[in-house]
Amino acid sequence: MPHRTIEELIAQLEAKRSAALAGGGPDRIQKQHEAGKLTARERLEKLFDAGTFVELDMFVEHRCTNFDMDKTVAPGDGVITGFGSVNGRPAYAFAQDFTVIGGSLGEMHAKKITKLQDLAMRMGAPLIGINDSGGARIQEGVDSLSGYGDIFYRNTLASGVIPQISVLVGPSAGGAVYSPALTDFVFMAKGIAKMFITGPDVVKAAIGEEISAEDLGGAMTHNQLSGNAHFACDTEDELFATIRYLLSFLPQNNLEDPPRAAVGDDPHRTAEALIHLVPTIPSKPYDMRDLIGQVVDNGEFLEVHRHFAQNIVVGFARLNGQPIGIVANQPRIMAGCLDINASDKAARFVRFCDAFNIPLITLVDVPGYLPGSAQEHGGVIRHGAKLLFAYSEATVPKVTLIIRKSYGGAYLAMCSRHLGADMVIAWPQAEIAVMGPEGAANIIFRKEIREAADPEARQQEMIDEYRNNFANPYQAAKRGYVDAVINPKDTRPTLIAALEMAATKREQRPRKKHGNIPL
Amino acid sequence: MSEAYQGEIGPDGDRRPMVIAVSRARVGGRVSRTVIRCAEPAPAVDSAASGERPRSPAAAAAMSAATHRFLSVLAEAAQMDGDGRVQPAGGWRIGGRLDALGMDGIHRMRVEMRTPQMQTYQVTIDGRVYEVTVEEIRKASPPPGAPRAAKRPKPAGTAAAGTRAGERPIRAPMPGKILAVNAVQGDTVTADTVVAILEAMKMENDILAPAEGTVKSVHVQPGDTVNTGDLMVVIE
Repeated sequence: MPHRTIEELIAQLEAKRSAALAGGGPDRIQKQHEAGKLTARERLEKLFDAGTFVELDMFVEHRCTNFDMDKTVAPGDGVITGFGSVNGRPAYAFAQDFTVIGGSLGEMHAKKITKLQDLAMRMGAPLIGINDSGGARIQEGVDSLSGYGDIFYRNTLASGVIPQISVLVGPSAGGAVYSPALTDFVFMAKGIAKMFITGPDVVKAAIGEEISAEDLGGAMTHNQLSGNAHFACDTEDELFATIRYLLSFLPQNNLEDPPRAAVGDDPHRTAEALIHLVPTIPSKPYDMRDLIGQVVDNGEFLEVHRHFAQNIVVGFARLNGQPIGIVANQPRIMAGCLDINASDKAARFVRFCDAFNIPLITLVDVPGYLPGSAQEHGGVIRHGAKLLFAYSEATVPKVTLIIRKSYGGAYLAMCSRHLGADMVIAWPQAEIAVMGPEGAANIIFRKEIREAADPEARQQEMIDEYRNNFANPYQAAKRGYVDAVINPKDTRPTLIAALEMAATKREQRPRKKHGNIPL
Repeated sequence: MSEAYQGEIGPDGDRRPMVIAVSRARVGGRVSRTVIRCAEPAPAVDSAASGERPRSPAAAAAMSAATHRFLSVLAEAAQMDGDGRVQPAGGWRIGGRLDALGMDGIHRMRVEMRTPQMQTYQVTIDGRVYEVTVEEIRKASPPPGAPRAAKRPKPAGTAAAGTRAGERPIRAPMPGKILAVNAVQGDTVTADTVVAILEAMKMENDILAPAEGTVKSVHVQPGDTVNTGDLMVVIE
């Protein structure tokens, strides 16, 4: 039999490539588009810099023979894996292909992903997982489960080593949802993404509850109610653009520093607007994000977990080109109190920043923890403790600015000096105290007020007296718990100077396997 | 967690439609604290009206009277069965679907739920303790042997807002006083529109719409006191 020419072999390769690139075929691709979804390859194109994506394992095939599976052709076994550049830096990604057997996960599909995870870990670069899958491939039985298990294990091993981002642009049900949960950031596309352990049908059958898929596990459900997702995007385009923006703040791995970028905002810029931004009447709120916008480079702030626990604001920004993580109370929502969800949200963000060498700027205006049986019975004690643990554990530069109120345990929890803040700054209107003037005056001067001729007037006198003497930054400054009290307009240069000072921070901790953060 | 049970309160032959709000706090173990709020549904309101609920003193008085009767029946029903359970006399029951809630002049009773399955409540009213068996009739499975709820009183005007698919109830995140309501039935809102201002924890707190939509109903007005979980506005 004559040898085939090299041209024939190359033609054969091209034919195989075309078949693989066609995925599930033009009909399924059209269906995907009609559902408002991009195909897996289109998504990878949006994510990576143009022309940089190199695909791996294009010709992997499943070897399942159960239930006539051997007759099913599944190009790439339903997932596309590979690497490329994002903003000029290497990154790894997999994208499940819904057009190929519904993107279901089988043995080889999982092996492609775990190979990619191992690669990303060894090379130390971020990994982005694009989930669009019907779930486990039932025909493959335990091999599917085993595939998921291998993926979760590697998510965990990689956690804190490389940034891991999960994208939900389709369904994710059952055990599959644990992979996103184990990663650092979860993006969901509104209307398209769904995530739940048990879907609406099973929920109805098991407990009789009727609920739509979108209400049970859609993008806004997980962004607002459960807090499982950090970003909700209107379109896939916006989603991938946001991922690229997010990655621009992050180092490639935990041994690198976050990338500085000259963004052209003068580090010595003062902001007159900050002087009057915070109302003098203590009951009047303001939007903390306005304050952040005045301080950070070019006012650019990527808010993370925006829709969840809105009483605290977390996100990334730059100061003098240096990426920073911001944690700030939001006074206009729930008085800016800390509660269970806010503690969870902030603590996780603090630990992510600590894992990846991102300095933390904490902006404080907090009257305390939210009282009530709902919080107490819900465990605000152990959830609130998470934030204390996270800040104490963190060894990145920690700079705290106390803006207005800072009372009691919440004063401690918001990265106080006592939890290892490298520099604590306060504004002149800061009230650092065990509790607010009203509460304190009532307790300390209870007898005086009761015995006064006009108790109400006396009470107000005592409250004012307490406010003037104690609810100010100078009591704390006298002890050195506050390092500096500054004019609000100087906030930006002061924070930048503090960060520069702390850039070479090295902090030792006793050797241990890991702490036991209350969970 | 807060639900509204609709219905009827009263002994057989004298049932009054009542709107009952039940909010539960689940505690570990078998006891959970339930607060039951009863009120008469708002009188039928022209839905084209501006969303303000007329509060006639007569309506308020009638509601108080009905609630008072309910409470006094509980007090009178001193029969203890073998298990130490007190059955309210004369066929009083609270039952039905959950609809609308939270009105003025509500008597607040603290209810400890003894056994979730049996739904026997221990009710403390003004310091005195009563045990009450409460039937909750769910759509899917009526409790065995119980007569069905007589009829669902037609929900009246803006007071009837169940949490159906597509509806987003906005509930008070903490107890406080409504200072301002910026939402009017029919308004278009976007996510982050301020629909109300709640004074709590000595701060004026913004209550934001959770998503884009239209204001379906407004259940509070400036001056109202709300508890955690109280329904304020419904967006759809």
